[in-house]
Amino acid sequence: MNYQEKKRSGPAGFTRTVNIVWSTLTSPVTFVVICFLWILNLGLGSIAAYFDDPKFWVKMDSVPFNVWLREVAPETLPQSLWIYIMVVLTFLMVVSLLLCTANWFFRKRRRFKGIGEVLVHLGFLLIFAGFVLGSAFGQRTLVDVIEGGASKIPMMDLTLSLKKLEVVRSPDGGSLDTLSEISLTGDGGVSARGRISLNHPLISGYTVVYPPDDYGHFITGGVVGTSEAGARYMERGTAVELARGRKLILEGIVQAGQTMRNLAGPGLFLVMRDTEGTVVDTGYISSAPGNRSTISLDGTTVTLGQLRESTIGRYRVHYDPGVWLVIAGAVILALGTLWALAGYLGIISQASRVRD
Amino acid sequence: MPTTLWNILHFTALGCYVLSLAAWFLSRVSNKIPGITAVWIATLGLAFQTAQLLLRWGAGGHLPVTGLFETQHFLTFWVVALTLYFYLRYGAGKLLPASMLFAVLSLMLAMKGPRAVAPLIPALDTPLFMIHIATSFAAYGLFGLGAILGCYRLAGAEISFEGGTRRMLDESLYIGYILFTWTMIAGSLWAYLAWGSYWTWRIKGIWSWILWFYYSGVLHVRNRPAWEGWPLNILAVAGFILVLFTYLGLGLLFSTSHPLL
Repeated sequence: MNYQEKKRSGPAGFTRTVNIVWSTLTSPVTFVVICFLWILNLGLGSIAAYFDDPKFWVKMDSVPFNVWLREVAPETLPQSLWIYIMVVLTFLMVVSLLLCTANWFFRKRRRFKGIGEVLVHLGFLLIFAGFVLGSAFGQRTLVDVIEGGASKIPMMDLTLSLKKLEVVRSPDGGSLDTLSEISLTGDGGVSARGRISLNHPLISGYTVVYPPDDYGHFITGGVVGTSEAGARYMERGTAVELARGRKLILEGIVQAGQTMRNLAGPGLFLVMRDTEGTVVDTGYISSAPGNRSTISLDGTTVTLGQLRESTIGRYRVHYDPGVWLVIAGAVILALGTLWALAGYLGIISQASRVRD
Repeated sequence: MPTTLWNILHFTALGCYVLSLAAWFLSRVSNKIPGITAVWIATLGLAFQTAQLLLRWGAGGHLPVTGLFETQHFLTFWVVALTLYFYLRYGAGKLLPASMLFAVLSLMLAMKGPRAVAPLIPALDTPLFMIHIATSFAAYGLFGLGAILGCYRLAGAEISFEGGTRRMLDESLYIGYILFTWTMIAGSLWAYLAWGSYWTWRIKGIWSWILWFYYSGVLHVRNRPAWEGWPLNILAVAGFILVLFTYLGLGLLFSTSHPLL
């Protein structure tokens, strides 16, 4: 082979190799092979995980996927190995789809032919990107909020306020749903407010508040009468100034039906502190049978008045920065299938005409 | 409405499908019974099923697709309706016995579930639920017919004009896949609004994705010369085994978010 021949075959050989590699990477068969391995791994792994621990999925769902992958999965190796394999195969599948889509744009694009299928690919890629984003930076938390009150949402610079919580009941008295009037407040003021119920959460950007998983009536405080300060309404942490600089503080609340050591609820656990803040006496007042509603603390008579009950809801708050990508992906995917279907039905009717 | 009514409609539809199956076989051995009789009896069975569907819808105030009884009826409804569609469009009369056998077995399994109309729990009371279920069972029905067609093709039987069986198989897989994609989209959106996540790591959700990817793979290879023959038929049959496991196997044998009993 002379120089001229080498010169010609060099780049041609290189181009041919590139073409073969590109064709292999963008080939639907490559996708199908990865897809098959993914199905096999996930199918067998999911069944094995279920039989190993029927609560496996519930535990996995309770934290964002990246947290589970980083903190929980390593402890359950080798049983969780299939999850890591799934992650690798999923990424390979996405790369295959990405290259396949790119290939369509570079090589096969002609008018609108095949655009439905490309939209399906693009939609799926967006959904996957949104899922990765949400898994990496998303947060999930539970917030207890008293009716008429507000609570800071942990890990998010937001406050959740609950104006009203109603329970929707069936004719036989069973709980069907809840209606909550809530608002979300951030640094810039109220970001969203509304009435939420099942299937109707409050959506504010990337943050969503769902109806309470749990709710109930709780004693949040009560009226306490003293011989020196009269009747005062107290909540947990409330301090009432007494003579000689002493303070009467509501330290804790025992709920109805609960017991704490030998104290039966409902009742209030009180602490008397001196000017130095030193505890000088403690006591418990309760309306439960067998308990005293009037006691003497450091010489001061303390009497329990009316206990106040409030409704508390436990709300799930999710922050998912990838959710709008997912929704956009789902819309594109749906449009892609509609486009593909329209094209396909056109082919069918054409085929029928040929037959006729 | 009384359970008696549901029993009457259920057993009448079941009886029609048994008779249709018998009529088809008799028409093969005797000239006295025309082949069209089986089609008419199947249509009558479908009419009874449609009546039951509408009456239950009216009684419950929602699409009757909760529990084993209702879902089996809904699946059978789609399989029979699509069989009749293929009969009209492609003249695929030979599809009838297999579909009728499927319908009979399906309705017999339905009897394992309670027949009373159950009120819809609030979480299911959304149009997304209706889209999710209606498209999923239409897709399952198409995948089921795809499997039946795959079996015919494996046996070397052409049940329509030349190339018609292949076209019906393609239609079953392609349109079934599109409908199942809508199932996944509606289900995810509903889960996001109701439970806080468009994706949950639950066995039902995982197997639904397995199913979606499986048929994605099938669609990618279905027109490739090396796959068009027996491999595609095997894929169509295996796909429906996956469908049955995802719908019935998980619903009956596992503790899932989609219980059937």
